[in-house]
Amino acid sequence: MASKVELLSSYKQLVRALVKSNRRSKIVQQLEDNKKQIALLTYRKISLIRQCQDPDPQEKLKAMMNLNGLNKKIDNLKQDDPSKSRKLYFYDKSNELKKLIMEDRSAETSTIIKKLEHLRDIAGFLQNQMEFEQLVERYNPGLKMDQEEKVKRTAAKVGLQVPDI
Amino acid sequence: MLRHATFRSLRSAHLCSVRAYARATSLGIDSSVENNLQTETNRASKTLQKFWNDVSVKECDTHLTVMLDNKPLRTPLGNALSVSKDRKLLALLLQNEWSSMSSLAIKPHSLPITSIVSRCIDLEYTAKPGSDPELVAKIGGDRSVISESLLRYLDTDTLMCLSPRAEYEGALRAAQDELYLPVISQVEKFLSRFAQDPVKLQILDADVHGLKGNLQDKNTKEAALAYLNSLSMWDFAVFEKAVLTTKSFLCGLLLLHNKSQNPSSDMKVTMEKIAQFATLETIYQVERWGEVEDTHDVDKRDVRRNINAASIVAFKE
Repeated sequence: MASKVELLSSYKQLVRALVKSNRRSKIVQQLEDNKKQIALLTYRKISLIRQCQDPDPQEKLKAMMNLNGLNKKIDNLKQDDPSKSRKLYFYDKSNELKKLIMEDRSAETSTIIKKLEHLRDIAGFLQNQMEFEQLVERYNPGLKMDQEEKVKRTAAKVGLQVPDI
Repeated sequence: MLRHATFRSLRSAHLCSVRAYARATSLGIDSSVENNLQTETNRASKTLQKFWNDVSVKECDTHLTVMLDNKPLRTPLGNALSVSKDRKLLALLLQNEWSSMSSLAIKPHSLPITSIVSRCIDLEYTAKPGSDPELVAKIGGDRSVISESLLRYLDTDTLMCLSPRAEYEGALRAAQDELYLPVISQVEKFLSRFAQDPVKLQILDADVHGLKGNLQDKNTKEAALAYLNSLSMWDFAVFEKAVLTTKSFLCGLLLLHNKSQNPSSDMKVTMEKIAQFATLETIYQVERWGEVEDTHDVDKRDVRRNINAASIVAFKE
């Protein structure tokens, strides 16, 4: 019985570690998604603007309405801050994980102790992996920079400026 | 990219003797023409872009396979990245590793578990009789060659090179005596099972032997080799990773033994303890001279994440 409680608590710890280590990548993924969405909507917007020049007034009105809706959607996406999303506090596969951890085919203490150690190893791995990645990124800021930014900085090093296009 | 990880481990195993070889075959991200296998890992390593939406685990009779958008994820040699059913948590972690990647670009250091598991699978694949010798050479998969290079770590094992008593007012040596000596005697006992004569590990004591190199005797080497040959290919790959991370044969042995079916209570250690064994001298150096940014802090995590990753891959329900 006591081991069940221990398993449950290490399950909770593990979920916490997973949530924490996935947080950054989730934010980045969401931002990327938003960017893609915005590009798509902007493309549709351009084609709608073309429709606005339609001589038929009814068509024109419809296009205008759609355009307004699109603009709103784009603005919403632009203002969206994924770091505040509630999704960040959950691990998607938590049910599956719980089943894996809590299912007890054998009630032998040695097996359960080994399993607990295993869970601790996983939590240790997740934490160290996360910290390692953070440190590498901190000491190598160039890794995260996009090409444009890199070119800008390289030019600035020799006293030049990249022209704005 | 995964290739990068495996080749790097091979490279450090051979140290200087591999220099010429390293230039002959392309290391790092394999963008060479000859590697155009249509595998997901290869595509990722060439384009450095995330190209999938969904990562799932597919269950079949005996194995769990990680799938990217319904196509199996593949190792550098083109095998499906799958693990046996008694490693369910491992499959879940692999899935997590691929789904929690940020979409910008894939970095070689962001997939430690995938890297070890791929190595395990590819080594198992090339160990089958009648496998293509070219593929074996490509991943450095010759078991006897790997064993040979791993045995060299037994001569210069981190746990068997003791520092002089004059350093750090004897504190480091005291800690080494306290931590290392019991492990050494336990391992001697453990390895004696694989030899006719009892194994006696040769310790390099800086006070007695100075800067002389260290060599284990023939009996010890044979016992260690017999131990290595007793490992399954999967465990062997994990062992390789652990030894290369800790620079210690004994640490690799400890790690595997603790994850085996029936670990003896005398040799029971946590993974954190193994990490401490491997970095004991650094701990004292940092205490005395301070922590060097971008070196000690990064290394500390690197050692621990690799040891933990190796132990996770070794674990079997």
